[in-house]
Amino acid sequence: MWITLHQVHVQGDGHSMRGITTVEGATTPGASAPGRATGALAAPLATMVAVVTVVASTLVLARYDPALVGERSTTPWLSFVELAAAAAMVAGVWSVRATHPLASTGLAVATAGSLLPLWAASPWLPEPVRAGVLAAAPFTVAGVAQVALGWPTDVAPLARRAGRAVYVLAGAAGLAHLLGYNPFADPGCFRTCEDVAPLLGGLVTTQTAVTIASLLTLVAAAVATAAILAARTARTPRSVTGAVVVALGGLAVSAAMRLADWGDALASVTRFTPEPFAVALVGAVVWGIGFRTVRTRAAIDRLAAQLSDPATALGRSGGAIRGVQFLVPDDGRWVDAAGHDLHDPPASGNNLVLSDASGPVLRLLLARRADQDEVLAGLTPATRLALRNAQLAAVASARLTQVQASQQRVVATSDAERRRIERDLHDGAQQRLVSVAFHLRVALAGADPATAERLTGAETRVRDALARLRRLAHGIFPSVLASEGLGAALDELVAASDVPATLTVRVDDVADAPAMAAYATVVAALDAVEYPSATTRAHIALVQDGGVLTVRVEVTAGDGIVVAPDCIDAADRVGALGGSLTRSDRARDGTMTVAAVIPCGS
Amino acid sequence: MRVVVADDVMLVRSGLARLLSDAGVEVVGEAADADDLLRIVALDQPDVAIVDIRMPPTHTDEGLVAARRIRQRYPRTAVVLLSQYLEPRYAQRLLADQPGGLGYLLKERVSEVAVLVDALRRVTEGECVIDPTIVARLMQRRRPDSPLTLLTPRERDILALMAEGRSNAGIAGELGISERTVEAACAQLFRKLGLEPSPDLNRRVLAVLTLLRS
Repeated sequence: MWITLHQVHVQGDGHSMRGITTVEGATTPGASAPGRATGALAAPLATMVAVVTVVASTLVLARYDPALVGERSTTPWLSFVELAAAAAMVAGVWSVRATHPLASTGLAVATAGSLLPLWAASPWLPEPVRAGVLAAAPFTVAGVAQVALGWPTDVAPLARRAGRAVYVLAGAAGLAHLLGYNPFADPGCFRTCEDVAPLLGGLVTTQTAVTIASLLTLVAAAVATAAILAARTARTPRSVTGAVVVALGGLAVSAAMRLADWGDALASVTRFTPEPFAVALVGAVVWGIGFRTVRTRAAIDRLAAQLSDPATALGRSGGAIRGVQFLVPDDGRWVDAAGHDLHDPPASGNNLVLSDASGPVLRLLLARRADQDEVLAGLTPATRLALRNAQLAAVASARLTQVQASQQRVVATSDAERRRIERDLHDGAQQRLVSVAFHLRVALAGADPATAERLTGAETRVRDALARLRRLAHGIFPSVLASEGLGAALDELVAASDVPATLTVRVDDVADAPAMAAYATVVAALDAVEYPSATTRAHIALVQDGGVLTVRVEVTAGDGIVVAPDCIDAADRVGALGGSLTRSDRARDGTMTVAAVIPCGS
Repeated sequence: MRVVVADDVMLVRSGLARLLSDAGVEVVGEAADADDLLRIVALDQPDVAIVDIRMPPTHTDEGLVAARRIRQRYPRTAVVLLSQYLEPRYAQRLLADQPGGLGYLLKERVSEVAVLVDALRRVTEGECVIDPTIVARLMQRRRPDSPLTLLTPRERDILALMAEGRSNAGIAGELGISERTVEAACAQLFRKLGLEPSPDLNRRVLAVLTLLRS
């Protein structure tokens, strides 16, 4: 019955509401599925007991015989009070079921313990059952105690042990009552007085059974009260502790009086039975706190909604506000919440400009009929804060977009320049060297042997220069990338590289900038192979999926030497496009991975 | 043999024409751009057109376009393309459809006039000539699905030399083996590449095509 539920939630009662604290519930080994099931069933069962009790007592009222007043405790007003008490208990059980499951279960037990004995007055139940339900009363003490002891989400060990002890005592009291109590032998019997032979009727007299049960109930109440006062924490509201202690006191007094009144028929019949009202008090207090928690959470949810999306939250205000636009300081540009430029300023409509010390910050676009003063009055501090945050976020993303655009321009300009240099090298220097080679060859034809030797030497050097020039030009700009596309350029790259590589390319049509970024990524990874060996391998994979191009190069060093790749150029290109480049360190088996995710906007 | 030389750089053009004349090849015309070239080809019907890939106005692939047009309109005129790029892709693009009667050489290779004259002779005979450097590049590729993976190293060497435009005798001389051995190896090679028996010349072209498409 002492159940712990594992759950994470925000502590929301009045006492701990200084900041937002996330508390993880303590778990007890062994308190698993069965315990959880009992916890889940407690509230519905308690509700059922309460409903049946109220219905039954109303039916008894319908058969009410005024002649019996004074002998039976069922009077019309008591029946209505009973209804109110039952409602308070059930409301309390349900209101904290999610936030304080242990306390809720305790309250459910107390509800059953306080209401079940009332069933003894139902003439429709068989006699043994009527006598038996009276044994449920001691559990009221245990249930009420659990409300206070189990309130904190992390129950202290002392509270846990005390709770178990109280349940054991209550169980023993209930058992003594069940096995030894014969209503007919009780001079003060009042809900039922039929002769029911209890199981151990021959061993213990009814008086002994009542004495044992009452004493055990008293002890349980005392133990519970002591434990509650000893294990008190700041997390348990004082109102809960107070209500529980008062209720326990009432229950203890009731048990003591039952003991003291033994044999006094009149006193027994007219005695007030406080159990349902004690539990109702606790239920009402718990319900009040649960209600407050729900309200606080709703307010927090509203605040969160405002903070995360003030435009939408404002838009809910009856359509008075149609949108929000933010001003980028020192720039004069207006942007939307995502930081995108607003090219067409709003028609000179009903706009409310909000400013701070430095000048205008944002403007609210209002519906034509909206009253500006009313909107101003409706802006709570939380909304203002939220709008301020939204402005900061919008400005930050607008600036980031600007920086990215500038980075892209830098890359594009540098590429254009590289391309021009590459062409100049090919069409200028290289052509001239080629013609020099031709003319050397022509001169060679008619030269004497000594000159021929010198000419041949010169020709060799020219050729060497041509080969170097070609490599240099290619390094400056891969012309095949621009003319034939990414797949062809990578084919060439792999063919020209000393690193044995596999190439998988699944791309449709990639624009120049993302293609260059992808190419640079592969170049960086392959360049990391300083000395390839026969066992060195590179796996290159490019996959275009929607608007994203994913590049992944995995290099296994084998017997070769792989150094950390220089990814600065590639990272700049990828970053300019808003993508990301990651590079794994060399693993123990010498595998190094360079991966890039490049938006290619198709 | 009558040739036309097309290159927008005058120094290169004249140097090349001079080299060829000295080697006994008749240069019937020099062209500075693609239009010039096409006009001369139409007028003189030369045996071979030697064409620079980059020519005005855009300096990108005007030479390639002109070469295609020549092969389509004047099949009797073979074309040798000169490139400053070590980009097999260009060769592939040009030669992929029908490589017969086409050559692709790096420009500086041309100063070895014997190689050039040999290439000219071969393309006029309908063969296909690819620069050794580019062939070496192509052979380096190791595509798992390529039929080239079925070849032995010796057969790969033979295919490479074939792509360079060497005859069986030339291949035999280069590898230091007998011509009979080369012939046998060629038969094996054609079989591995799935080429049906047909006139030898045609099969050689197809074998080079396989190399290009790998």
